[in-house]
Amino acid sequence: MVSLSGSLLSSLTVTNAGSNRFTRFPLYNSKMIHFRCYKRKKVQRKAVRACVAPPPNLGSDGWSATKFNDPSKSENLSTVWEPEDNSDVLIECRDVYKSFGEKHILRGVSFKIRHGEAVGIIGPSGTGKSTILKIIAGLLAPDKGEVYIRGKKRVGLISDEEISGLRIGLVFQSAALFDSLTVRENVGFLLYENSSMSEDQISELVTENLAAVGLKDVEDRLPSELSGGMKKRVALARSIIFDTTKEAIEPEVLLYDEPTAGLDPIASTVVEDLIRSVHMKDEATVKLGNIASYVVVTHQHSTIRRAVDRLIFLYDGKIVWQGMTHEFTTSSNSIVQQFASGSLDGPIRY
Amino acid sequence: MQAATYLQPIFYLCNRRSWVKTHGRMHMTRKISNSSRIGSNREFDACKFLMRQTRVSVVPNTDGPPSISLLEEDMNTNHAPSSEVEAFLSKWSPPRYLWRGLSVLILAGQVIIRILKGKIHWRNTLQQLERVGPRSVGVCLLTSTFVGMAFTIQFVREFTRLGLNRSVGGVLALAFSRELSPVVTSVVVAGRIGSAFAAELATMQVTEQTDTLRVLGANPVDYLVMPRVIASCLALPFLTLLCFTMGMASSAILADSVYGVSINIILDSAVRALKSWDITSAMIKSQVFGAIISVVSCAWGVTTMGGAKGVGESTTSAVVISLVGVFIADFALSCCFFQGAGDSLKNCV
Repeated sequence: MVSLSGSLLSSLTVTNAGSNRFTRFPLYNSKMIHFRCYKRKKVQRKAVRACVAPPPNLGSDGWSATKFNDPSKSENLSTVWEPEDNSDVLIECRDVYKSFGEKHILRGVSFKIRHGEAVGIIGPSGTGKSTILKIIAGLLAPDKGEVYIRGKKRVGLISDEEISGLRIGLVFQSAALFDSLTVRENVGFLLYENSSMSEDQISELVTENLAAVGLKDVEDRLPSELSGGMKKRVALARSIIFDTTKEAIEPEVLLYDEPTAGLDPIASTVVEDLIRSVHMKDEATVKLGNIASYVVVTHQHSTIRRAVDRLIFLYDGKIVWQGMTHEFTTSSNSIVQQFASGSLDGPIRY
Repeated sequence: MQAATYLQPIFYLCNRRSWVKTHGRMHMTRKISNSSRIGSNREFDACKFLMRQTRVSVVPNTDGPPSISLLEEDMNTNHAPSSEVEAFLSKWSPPRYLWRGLSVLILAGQVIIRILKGKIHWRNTLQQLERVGPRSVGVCLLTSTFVGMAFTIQFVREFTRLGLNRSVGGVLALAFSRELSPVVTSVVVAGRIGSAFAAELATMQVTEQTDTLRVLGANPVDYLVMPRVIASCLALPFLTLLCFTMGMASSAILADSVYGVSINIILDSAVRALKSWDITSAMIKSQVFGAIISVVSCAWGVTTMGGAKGVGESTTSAVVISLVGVFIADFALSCCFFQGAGDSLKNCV
């Protein structure tokens, strides 16, 4: 039996005579509360260091880039620029601007993703959530501002240069499976194209990864023969697969673009738990994909509660609130309150 | 090359030091190492756009024409400020087809560079070769048969009246080898394969599959475009040869069976008129046509924006532009290949 997600979770798992390496997954739900309490403490501690200073000249027009309502968090600002804090920063966006024609989507967004974090980016539609993911992934170039990957500035886009030290995976909202390839070819795409592994090895690894996301006997199906939830899980399996023959496995940051959109509540829970389960909690328990941190873009409350520890609230191209998940519903920020309650009255207008 | 998308498809060609994204309204921004410069450097004149551009990007725009961004990394030139020129260029909205046309040229360049570097995806190339070659043979032969018979009717009727029976075969052979076979084959392939290429790539673009390719470390040009271009360039000459053979055969049979001109006379006349250059030129032409069809279709596919409607429009315009390109190239190549007075028919009068 192999643990997927971490030392704490692995203690909850039950050996299953080796028949299915990933049967631990269903057990995860039952121990969720316990686990999340632990996780929250851990991440909260990190978030003290993770807060980001607002860009200097953005307070005048609309919302400042970061606005902390909680007095305890405003203290964090003083600790922001300590150089020793940046050792575990995997991705950093500094004052990122992006516009499409006349539409200004991002207006100075700055934040850091640290090792081990589960970050959620939330906000109303059209505020640049997906855009920031694409900028992090290197599919779009920011108009202004920089993206640092493990402290190294990203120059150009994803195909321009090899980024060493970090893999960045992106799971699209639509799953974006290659519809002319089978599930096996989809999940193993990275290995078929970029590794020297044999077909049998890849096939075995694909089966393992599919089992990890709760799918079996679907390898030979085409994406059109899968349900929406299955497609998302296949996309997840595709993003966590990696070359096991390499000596050094780089940690991976996974970016999920609305992973639970359009799914029924139970399927959503399954996907949310999967997102948690592939997350690496510490170096010793790396079994799947070496997912060090992940970022989820979502508007779904269940996903916010279940799959995310720290939240970044984007509105009108800027970060208007950051905080832990449990602070989300109790925040005094009017935008956050309106978003959390779904009220029509408030600063967010449609 | 690198394609990047924001919700809409985009074409985005990248070569480390210079990349071009297609689309849009002229919107100029620059990236300078000193980020505090927004506004203070606005007066850097647009001459740079013409004189030195390290990065040109054209960004997709949902509700308007695309926008270009110039990202200058090195701004230490000493041009006099000229905000008027910049303002003029900022308001310039180049038409979308211009960007798509540009993307064809850039994609063609990328394909050539990558072929020279030897980055060929053999598995995909063979798959595409099967699709363009063997699976297109039937429809190509059928088309050339009827085109051959139609031309035979016109030639035989008029030439027999003039007593030029011995020339009919030669004229047909020259017409087929030099013009009809390459063009007819290309028209069929543009309709059958070009549309499929454009629709396939356009669907991949609008469903974010090309972005996924990039995220998974595969280059869309290597994985999608090059195999299609290579397959078309290799398959078209063979299809043309088959079409030529079929066209001549159908002509000879029709002339013999309906107009009483013996097959032997037709074929003998054809052999006298034909030279090796006629067949070679047909091969070269068809190779060029294959490249035009595949590059145009792929470029139109990857620059698709919007959903199903965008895919439909791209497919239609890819075929139309491919065909126009083929006819223009046919004229240009014929101009180059066949100059001065011809003497091919002197042996069959």
